[in-house]
Amino acid sequence: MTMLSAAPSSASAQEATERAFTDVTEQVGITHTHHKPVLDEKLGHIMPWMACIGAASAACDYDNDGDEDLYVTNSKLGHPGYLYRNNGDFTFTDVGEEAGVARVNEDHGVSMGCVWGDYDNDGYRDLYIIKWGCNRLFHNDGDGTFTDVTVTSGTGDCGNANGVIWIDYDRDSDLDIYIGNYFPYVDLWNLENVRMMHDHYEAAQNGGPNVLYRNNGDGTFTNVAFELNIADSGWTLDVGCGDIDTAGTIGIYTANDFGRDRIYVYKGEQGFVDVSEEAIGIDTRKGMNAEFGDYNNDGILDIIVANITTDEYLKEGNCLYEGLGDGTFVDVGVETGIWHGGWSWGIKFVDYDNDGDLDIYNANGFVSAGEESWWFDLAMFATDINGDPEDANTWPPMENKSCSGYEPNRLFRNDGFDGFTEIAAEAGVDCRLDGRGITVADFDNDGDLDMFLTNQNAKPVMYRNNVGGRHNWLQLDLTGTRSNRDAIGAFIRLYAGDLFQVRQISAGNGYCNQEMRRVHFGLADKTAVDSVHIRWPGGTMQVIQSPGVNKIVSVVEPAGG
Amino acid sequence: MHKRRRVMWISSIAPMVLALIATAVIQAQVKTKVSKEELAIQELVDLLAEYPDDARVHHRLGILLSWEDRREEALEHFEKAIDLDPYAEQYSNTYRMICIPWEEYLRCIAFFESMIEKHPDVPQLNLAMSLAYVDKMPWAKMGMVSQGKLSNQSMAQLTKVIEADSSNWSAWYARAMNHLHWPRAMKHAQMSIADFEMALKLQNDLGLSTPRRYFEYTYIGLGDALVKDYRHDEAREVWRQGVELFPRSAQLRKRLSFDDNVALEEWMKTARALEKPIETDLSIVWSP
Repeated sequence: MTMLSAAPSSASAQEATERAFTDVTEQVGITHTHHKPVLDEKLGHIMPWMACIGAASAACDYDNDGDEDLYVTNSKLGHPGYLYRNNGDFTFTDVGEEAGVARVNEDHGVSMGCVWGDYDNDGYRDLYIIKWGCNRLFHNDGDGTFTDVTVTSGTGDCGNANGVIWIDYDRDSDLDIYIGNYFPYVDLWNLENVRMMHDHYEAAQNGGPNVLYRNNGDGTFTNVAFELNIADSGWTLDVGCGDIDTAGTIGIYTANDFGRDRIYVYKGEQGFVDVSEEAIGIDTRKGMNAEFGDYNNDGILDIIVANITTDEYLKEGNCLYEGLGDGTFVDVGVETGIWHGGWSWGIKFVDYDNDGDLDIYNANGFVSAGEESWWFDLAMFATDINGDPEDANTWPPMENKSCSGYEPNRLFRNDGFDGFTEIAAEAGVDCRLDGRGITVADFDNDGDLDMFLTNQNAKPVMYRNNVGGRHNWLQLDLTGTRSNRDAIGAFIRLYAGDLFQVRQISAGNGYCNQEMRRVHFGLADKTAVDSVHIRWPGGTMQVIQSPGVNKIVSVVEPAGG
Repeated sequence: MHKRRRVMWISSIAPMVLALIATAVIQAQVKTKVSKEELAIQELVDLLAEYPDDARVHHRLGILLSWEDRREEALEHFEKAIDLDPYAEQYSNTYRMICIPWEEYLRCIAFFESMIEKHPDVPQLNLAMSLAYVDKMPWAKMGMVSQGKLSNQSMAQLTKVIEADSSNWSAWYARAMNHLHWPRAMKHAQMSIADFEMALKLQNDLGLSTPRRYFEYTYIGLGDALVKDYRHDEAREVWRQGVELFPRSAQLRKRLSFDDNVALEEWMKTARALEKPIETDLSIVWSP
């Protein structure tokens, strides 16, 4: 493990930690409750398990007014999704209905995730919603309304999706969509039979094959996942992407439940190549989250993966795969202290205290219900040598039992050479609801990162960051011209004296969320940035000298390259 | 095979066998300056030409070949030895012990499955099979759920052995160790205690004036299982009884050094961590 950033003094770390966040959910006008799905009654005895996911959100300035808006999913038939327009004063108004993106759970399943991306490079970000059922693509018409273009675009895969990213995998300057499917292709509301669960707890391959929609550049898409060898049939809960080496090789990470996580690299005509075994070895855990970021400021992206950990039953532990620069990673989850995140779901890198290194926020909690625990029943069932997990009928009933319920979310503060320290309670973010996704964005444009937490079958939480001006910061708003307009895939290096950081723009990394596309750097006490080096997705290099601090800088990709 | 690895499992070989190997090696060395191992192997190959169904020679040859890292040949001779004499626990034990560093878990399990099918009334094979399942548990490709399943598969085999012969100390002990390995929340502690108590009874029933070395492990295991069942004082009493028989036992003395239950529990977390492989080398039973 190498921690290259300087550790903050304990006094400043303490200062940044105390009351770092305030729950402002109600005062900003977010009042809805997430509703969990209710599936075919044949699954009634394990419905809490089956209905445990779907609370997601995605940040985006969809109306180009300079502040971050939010789309939030709902997961029960007939219940609307929400488009929270930021009013500019850190309050929100739900405009989902008039915008035409609310009624997404009326038929063909319910929402499980959402992600914004400008697929036609017209300057307005479009919205893709993944579902258990048929996915939907909404074109942003630029006037506050959206048009459902699912059918004409050919993007309505009717799998049971849980993860999605926008990615320009072939660097042809338009955004493609990669979707992680979970269950096989079954109608969860009208099951012919219940032999549709995973067939193994650690090597299952009978999930729904993942989908890669290649953007044809004319408003239509084609699923090329099988053709390009990336139709992963693991039980994918999340997908993420980022450079896996110093040569700029983009890897797609699939976090698979009940089986091996995979990393795929695009090799042109060869399609995608599975490099998992060399990169991370053989993983047998319950991967739930794939987030990229450089936690140790060595210029190489690392990957954090959520897994399940309990004190008594299952000790899989979160993985923090430290990138070595050659396409291989070493798991430093234990050494760095982020291993025990409970039953982890979404995990995000976030420099919440602007001290120049990435901290980690970890949502967790599976099913919070009665006092009795279901863990014993599950463990006995899972280890039964005659057990047949694929057949839902054989599963032990959950009744009103909890399973890793009421777990406090973790906030792991990056203390440099000392690893991470868990400080969720002091920071005010130790929510005990069943957390799923964490959307990180500077919703009030004050230079620190706020967090929107979605909770399953419960109210979400908007955490306002109070760190404010304690440290300096810089944000970059990139617009591609030769590359995709959203600049997804752009790799940015920042130099400020002895502080060196990198970021890469992604769209949907991490479970059930999409962070702000604008790039945020915490600068600690640096009062100047020497330079910023941008490698655009199309390959153009651009250097910006002395961009200043404590401001948002707009950067347009140079036309001449 | 690396020398260090050889030392690790050499203790599992019966002294008599070692003596025979040594003799073969020395005899071979006297004759020529060619590698002594090679010559010893040739001696045994010649012997096999004369006595092709001699399990002892196959076993000895397997050992020599494994030292030379001639993996496939070694495994074939071990397997032949077991097939010829399935009752010989030593042969199965040596085979399993070499399959561990070579990561031949799948082959080992498949082989014992085939042997049980061929020799259905040989409990020694069920015992070996049960331990082969346990040997596979720490394999990097196994997750924790699969490990639990392997442990259950192992215990199912051990139960068959016990049902066939309730005086089989090895089976009681192995099943007790299996139960002990499970997390406390899985409620196996009392089953572990019951099996260790039976193993203890069997060794006491032998009425030996000098206890066998392996008796020590029963005291250690029983005490540890009692701790898992929150019966700390009873655990200490068992360990004290063990120390009376084995006054120099570092493991027993270490456990007795904890007066405080919390400290003992903390230490036990590491000593009996889920990640630690279960010891399955049965040579402790026949070693002096």
